[in-house]
Amino acid sequence: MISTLVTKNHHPIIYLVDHQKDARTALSKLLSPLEVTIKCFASAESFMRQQISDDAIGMIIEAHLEGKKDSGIELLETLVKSGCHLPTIILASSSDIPTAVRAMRANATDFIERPFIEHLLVRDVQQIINGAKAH
Amino acid sequence: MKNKSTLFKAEQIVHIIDDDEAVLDSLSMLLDSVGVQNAIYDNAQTFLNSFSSDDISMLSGCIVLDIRMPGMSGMECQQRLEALKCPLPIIFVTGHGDVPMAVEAMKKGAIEFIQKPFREQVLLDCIQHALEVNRNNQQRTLHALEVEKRCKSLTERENEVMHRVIAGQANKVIASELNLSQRTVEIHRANVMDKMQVKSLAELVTLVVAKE
Repeated sequence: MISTLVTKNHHPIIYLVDHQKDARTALSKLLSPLEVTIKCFASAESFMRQQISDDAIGMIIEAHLEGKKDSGIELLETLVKSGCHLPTIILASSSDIPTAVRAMRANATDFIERPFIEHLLVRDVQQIINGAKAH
Repeated sequence: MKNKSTLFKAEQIVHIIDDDEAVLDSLSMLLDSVGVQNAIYDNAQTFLNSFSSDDISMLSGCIVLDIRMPGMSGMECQQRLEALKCPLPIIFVTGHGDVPMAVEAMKKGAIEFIQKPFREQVLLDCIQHALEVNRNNQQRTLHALEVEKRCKSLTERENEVMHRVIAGQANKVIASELNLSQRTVEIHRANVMDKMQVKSLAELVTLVVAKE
């Protein structure tokens, strides 16, 4: 289920997977000034059901989807195993060192602890956009 | 140019750096008990001073590094080692870590970040993994150097022909574009396969593309 799709078709896509509706809305709004289309998904399952677009340049995934510990990181691990190497930012509503280390070992580009994520997230997303442009 | 046998030290050694002597002793004993070669240092500077910068880039093994130490911190040591192109994977061990610190260390290439107290088996597993990664990295480096060497043995013309062959051009096309006879292209092509030590086009592509 695609819950939000901001239509700015000429921009590259960043996927946002988070079960919290408020977070999806707030983060989409936060990132809307950037040159990127944020495509939101409420669960790992709904995300896995779709084909990853050629225009995709990155992902933002909540570490504990639906409150299940490390499930977002498991999603990232599955994606990496299947050959998807998009730069990925992990957001964590609750975090501990083993979770952070697991995310980074799964090749996450960054691991950001909530709630103070705004400027870090904007910075990381801008880096992903710049990186994609450089290629 | 260093050859294969002297590029890396043959023996893998686990270097343990921690300001707590009790930790050094117990880890050293633990590794001795499973037959893993190890060396201990009670601060980061001592470790750095133990090797010339040439030597440090040739080391085999891994590093178990404490974060909070008097003098140079573990994170600072990681930075210095990176600048020195030290190939040893780093396992951070700390009693005072937090998430941002762990993320930072991992971003800078640490292979693990474990919190004290830990079970001995956890550290042993991490060390085994780090040693394996170190071996694989070494093999990759040696392989890349070998391919590089083979590429350098090609003449300019052979190199030109090779890149066109890889790009999928037929001998006929290469011949006409380079103003050569088809027979000459065939000879260059055979020389390329010979010098690159491959038997098929697929092998050649894999070798060169992996390098680039």
